[in-house]
Amino acid sequence: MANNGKIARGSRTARTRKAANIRLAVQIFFFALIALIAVNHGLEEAGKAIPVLSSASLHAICPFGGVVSLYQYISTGTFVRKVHSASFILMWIVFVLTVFLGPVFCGWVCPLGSIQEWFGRLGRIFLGRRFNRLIPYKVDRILRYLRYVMLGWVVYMTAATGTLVFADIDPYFALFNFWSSEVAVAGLIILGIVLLLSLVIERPFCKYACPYGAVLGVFNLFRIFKVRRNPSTCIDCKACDRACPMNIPVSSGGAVRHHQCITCLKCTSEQACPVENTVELTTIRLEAKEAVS
Amino acid sequence: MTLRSRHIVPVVLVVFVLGIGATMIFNLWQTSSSKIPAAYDSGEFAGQYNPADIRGSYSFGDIEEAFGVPAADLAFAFGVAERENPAAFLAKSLEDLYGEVEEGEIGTDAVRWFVALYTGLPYTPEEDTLLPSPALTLLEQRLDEAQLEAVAARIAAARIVDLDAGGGTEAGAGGAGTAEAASTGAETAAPSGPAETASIGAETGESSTHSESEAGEVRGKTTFGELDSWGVNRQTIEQILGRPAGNAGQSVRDYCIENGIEFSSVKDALQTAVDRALER
Repeated sequence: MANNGKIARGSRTARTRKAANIRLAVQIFFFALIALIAVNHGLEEAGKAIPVLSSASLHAICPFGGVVSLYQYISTGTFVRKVHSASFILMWIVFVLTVFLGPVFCGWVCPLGSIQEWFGRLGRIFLGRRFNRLIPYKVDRILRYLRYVMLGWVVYMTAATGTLVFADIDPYFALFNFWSSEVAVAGLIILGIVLLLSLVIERPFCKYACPYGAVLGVFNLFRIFKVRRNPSTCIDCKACDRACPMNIPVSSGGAVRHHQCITCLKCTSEQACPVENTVELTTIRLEAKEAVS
Repeated sequence: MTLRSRHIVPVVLVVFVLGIGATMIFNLWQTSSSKIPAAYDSGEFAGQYNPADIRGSYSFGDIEEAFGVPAADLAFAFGVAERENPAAFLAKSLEDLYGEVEEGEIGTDAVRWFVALYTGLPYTPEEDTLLPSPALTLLEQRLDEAQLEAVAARIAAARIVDLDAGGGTEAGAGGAGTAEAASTGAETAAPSGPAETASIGAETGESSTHSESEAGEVRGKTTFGELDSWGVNRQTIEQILGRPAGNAGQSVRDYCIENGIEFSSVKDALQTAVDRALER
């Protein structure tokens, strides 16, 4: 390691790759788990379920089901049709994780986020540096609030009708049920659009439309472990900004409180940042002066 | 305190495993509704399970357990006897299996009706509910002549459209051919007597992921919230029901079971109200 805190190139590359692979392994694990459960649900209906493995419906194990059921649960003590206590429990588990680590669910667990990221890798091959930079910042910044509009609409309509209105347009449900007759055509079309857009924009659904991401994003304002930058050691190379899949200007402040941070840790000194201990997921203030918002 | 990627993995896994594990220990973790139907809470059949509460997510095995109707008989009646495990066959799968049936539908309501006829319990099916012809064969010994005649009038000329169905792909009599066509305008064949009030289970949701009601079409699973979203105001609904309406998330059928109302007796009036509201 050099005196100014920079890490030797060889060891840095190895460490960066290792950190990226750890997250990729977790993403693959959860993607495979959900896929297997979805397949097993179909097998169970045919009387051929794989023992031990859960055969729950995807609605029953989606934490967002808990969020949209909150109103009905508080007002009548019942869940929205197709939602069960498991969704509620998962909602609280994810909330606990998010209070500490921010939307780590989005960056590490959500299979829809993962598949968008994997499609993005293909897009990056073709577009190079233009990938994820096609929409002007000012327009993009406004569009990102669309997911709060989506959240408001989904919560209101679910409370008003008592049914899972989002299920028919949910690309996540379509992704793991595209072979069944339970998927609405609209869901498949939206899934197709999301995957195509993923070739030019990183995580388009997460950025512009995901109502659950909108809920979890709010936790970025008060999460305990924040992505923090140390301005005194920062060399202002903007590597963190370029690495961020959500286009957050990490280098412009001390702590990231941006509502779209997904705690992927790509910007940290473990991966993109070339200076050790300069961008970290930490509870300690790193001589931060202002927050990125 | 500073965390790295290698720390995130155990944190995430431990929180998920502990959270799910702890709730499983306390029996709070549920991914499907209980397969215990509501029971009649008064009248001649008080305490017996009410076929009206059979859900699409019930398998023939679940129905056998609750109502004593052998899964093999259900499978024969609905033309799926040659499947590998008919006890695991779900009532909701019938709609996919039979597809579009002229002038009616063979689905979960057909199972409710068949179970009611088989067990002698009161139930009024929806007007467009039909039965496949093998069902009639099984009911011959259980119904009187008038009832059989009425059931025969609602036997569908239905072909199973799912080619995966084991053996025969047709739901003809005895599983050997296409059933005879019959008109669907006949009177209901349900045993006489009012459908008694039934208490409803703790779970109001189905575990199934079956499609929601078609927009504007009043069905058993239509919720009060959907009626509202189609423009039917609460006052109109309450006039039709003759009592305060249920909450937004409650299905009309569940409400009717709870309040001792025959769903079919209010369905048409609600449909008319929806049609009027949608025309506006």
